[in-house]
Amino acid sequence: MISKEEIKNLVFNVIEEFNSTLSEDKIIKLDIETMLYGKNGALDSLGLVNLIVGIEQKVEDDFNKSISLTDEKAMSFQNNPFRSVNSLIEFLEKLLNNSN
Amino acid sequence: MQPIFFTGKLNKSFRPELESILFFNSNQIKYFKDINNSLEVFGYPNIIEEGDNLRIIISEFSDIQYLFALDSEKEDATLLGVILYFRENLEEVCILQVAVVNECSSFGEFYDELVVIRLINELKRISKRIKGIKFIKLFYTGDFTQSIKIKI
Repeated sequence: MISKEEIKNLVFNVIEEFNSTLSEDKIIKLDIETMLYGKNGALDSLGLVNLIVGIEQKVEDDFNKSISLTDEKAMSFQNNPFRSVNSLIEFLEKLLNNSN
Repeated sequence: MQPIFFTGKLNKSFRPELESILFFNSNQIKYFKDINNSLEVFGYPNIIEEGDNLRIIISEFSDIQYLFALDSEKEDATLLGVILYFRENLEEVCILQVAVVNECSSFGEFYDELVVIRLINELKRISKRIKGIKFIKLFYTGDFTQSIKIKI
């Protein structure tokens, strides 16, 4: 079982890595309330793709688990799991703790 | 999320919508430099009619492939987006351009439909069936300095 805190740290680490490649005005605030994608979101579509790829890689490196955040299961969620840092953490928690 | 229908064939009646997405797309202004680089390397896309369908060609580049996203299979469907790609080498498929209608962009009314993500995911699904392909590479990456390489 991977704790929510571990997942939060993972997501924050990936965002920090991204921030290091961004200009100052594009920096993503490290806060679970930060909106990621959509209205007032910090990312556009390609930014989101980049974040997803980074998270999938980090999950594999840190937890030795291979996941896809964009498969049919993810897309079948009623609410967009990428709307905020918090919704992303909750989505990852479900995905990681239900996968084999 | 609403279902999306993916197809490699698009009826010629969609020509104005496709032209609008590919050539007059305000979402893509921020990627102007990247797109220009892509055009310099690969050439300019053109839409031509072939029978009842549209075909996208890029100068002399014969291996270009594409996938369209529509909101249904019906004749009165709405074109939501397009992705242009080619096989760069034995292991990689390279995305040259991915474009969606304003309404489905990150600031549009239907951003929650995640059309760009779903287009790339469909390409991932297709690429999995091609022997040897391990990655999908994005030619342009916007704000990010590192290129995006998606594991299949």
